[in-house]
Amino acid sequence: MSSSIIKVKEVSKKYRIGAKQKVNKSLSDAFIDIFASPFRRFSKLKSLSSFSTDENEENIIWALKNVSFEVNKGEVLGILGKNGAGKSTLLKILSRITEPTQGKIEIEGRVSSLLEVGTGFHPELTGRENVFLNGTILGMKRKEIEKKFDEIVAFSEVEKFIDTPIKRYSSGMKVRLGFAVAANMEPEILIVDEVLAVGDADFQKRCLGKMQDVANEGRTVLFVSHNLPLMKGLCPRSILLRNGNIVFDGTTEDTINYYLNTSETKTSNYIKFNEQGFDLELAVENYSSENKGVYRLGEDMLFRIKLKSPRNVRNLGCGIGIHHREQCITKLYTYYQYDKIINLKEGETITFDIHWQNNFLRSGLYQLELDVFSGTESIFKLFDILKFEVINTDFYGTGQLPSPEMGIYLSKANWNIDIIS
Amino acid sequence: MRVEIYKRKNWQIITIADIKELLNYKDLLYMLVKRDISVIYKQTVLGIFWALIKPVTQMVTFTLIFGKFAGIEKDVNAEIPYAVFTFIALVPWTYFSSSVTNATSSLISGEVFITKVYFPRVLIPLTSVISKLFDFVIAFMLMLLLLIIFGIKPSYHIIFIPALILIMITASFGIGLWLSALAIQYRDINQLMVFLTQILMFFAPVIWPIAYIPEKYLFLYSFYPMVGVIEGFRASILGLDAMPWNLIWPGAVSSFLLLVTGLIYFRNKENIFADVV
Repeated sequence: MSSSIIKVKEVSKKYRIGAKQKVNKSLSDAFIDIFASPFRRFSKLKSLSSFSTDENEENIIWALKNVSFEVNKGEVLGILGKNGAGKSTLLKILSRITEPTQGKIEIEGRVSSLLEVGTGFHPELTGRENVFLNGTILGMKRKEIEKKFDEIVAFSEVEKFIDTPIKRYSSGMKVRLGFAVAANMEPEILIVDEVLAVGDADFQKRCLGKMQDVANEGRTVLFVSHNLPLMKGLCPRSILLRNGNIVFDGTTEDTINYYLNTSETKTSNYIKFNEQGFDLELAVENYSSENKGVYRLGEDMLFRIKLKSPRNVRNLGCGIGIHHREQCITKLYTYYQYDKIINLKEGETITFDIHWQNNFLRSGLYQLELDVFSGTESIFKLFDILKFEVINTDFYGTGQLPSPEMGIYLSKANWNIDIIS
Repeated sequence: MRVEIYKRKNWQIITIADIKELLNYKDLLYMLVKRDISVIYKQTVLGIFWALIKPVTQMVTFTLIFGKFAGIEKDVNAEIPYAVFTFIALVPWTYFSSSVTNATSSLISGEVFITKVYFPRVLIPLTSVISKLFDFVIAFMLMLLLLIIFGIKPSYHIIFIPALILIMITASFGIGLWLSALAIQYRDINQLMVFLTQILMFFAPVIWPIAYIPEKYLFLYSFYPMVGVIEGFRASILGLDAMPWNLIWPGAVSSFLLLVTGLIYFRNKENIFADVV
């Protein structure tokens, strides 16, 4: 098609993962190894940039494999997929940060990519200086920035502090300023990674509005997010990546359905991981013994979060969201339900036990979202980190299982019934 | 604008398109240099005086240790105080060593640029080399002040200074390109840099006169880029000797070669920076 502005043709990218370390059997082995190790290390470091043909395939992963798609001018395309599906790699290749191992991409037009908000911000420089710095880094000319400067500052709402070094800014202010610069670029193609997950809710809303404007102006947008309702609102079409392959390409509605229907149905009750230096554990428990991520409707549940912070966090907030298909059923936040202020120091570990006595969820699969805040500003929001299943019980005590027609969230009420003759 | 993204072949040379692209980013270069310069002395009490303190301290120390104690003073033209003799060399030398050191670590400290955004990577070491010119200019002015204090009148040879500065920048940038592209993959370079510039200084005619080098090795030695620059600085500012063109041209040749090979090496490595950093 002549109107396609991005053509991705059979793009693959392989990465090397660390090979297993050799273990020394004896002291003399270890001693010899000290002298041999520079050679080994050299070949290891060198191998970061080259792949020999007889390479042991074990040490290689294909982050993308034969990915092909086209994007038309003015289209807003969503890119969907779990963590590790290849989304970030695809964006990095499209943004020319890294190059593909195989395949080719043709792009007609100026690309601006927003993989991070405020790239190159220097803490010692003022807001004004950083706007110019960040703008030129994103590919704008100084003249363009001058023209847009007032607009950028107004959008960021940091007018009063624009001549203050940004090390005095709150993290929210930095994010606002960074997004304001990016939002006021006028690229033909805009690539946005999940940057909108940061900042407060109000600002997020305005960012989305701005993205919608960009889309309405007929510019092309590639958008990655875990936020399914958001994607549905913003992108008419989406592609779904899984293990480096495109497994679905269609309307966002269909893609989301496909994603949800085919995603791993494996439920689990425990996960441990690291996000932005935070060591996190999330466990879901009930009060009876048997538990493999399956809970009975009406049964009390316990969500346990354990978090070790790599830095000082003021006014720490934490919460989980319970999602069913692409809808958020409910959220449990310290912000609303815990009134003391928590300040966490670097290296400290904190646990949250959330006793939930309102598991009135209709039978089905649910996904958990984990959010961590500092004040009202999000540090991160992680969607779909754990799945659990709720199975039907005789919730109303009628000897019958409730029918799906009873809604997603079941509730009981006291009834007063009078017949007035 | 049309962009094609694919795996580049090995051993590419620099094309006109590369240069055109670079010109497109001159605003960014300006901003990066401005950032570098304005950041260095932020939150320091002495501010830009630091640009003076380093060469002056070195001058005083060297005059004492090498000039007096080691007696090198005797081998220097008697009309010139040893302090002036060594300070004139320290001005280009300080630029060379600090810009090479800075350029070498520039890619590693600029990791955020490499992994989050695209622009020609060569701008990163180039920024280091350009922004160090700021300190150079300050030291240069101090040198002129020193000449006035000692009552030394510069000769007309001073018109050759821009050419020497050009060689000095070319050499720094060329070496900076090589070392930065190596350092991002092999951090050994960082360990090396801790003492490399120091050793290189002792091998350059900074604290001793060029006459120490035996005649038969002089030609070979002059391919060390900073030899011609330093001797050129002395000749053009003091005007006691003729311009040592025999030392300058080999240095210019090797600087130019370092730059060209550095650019090519860097060009062939830059596409993997994001993967190896």
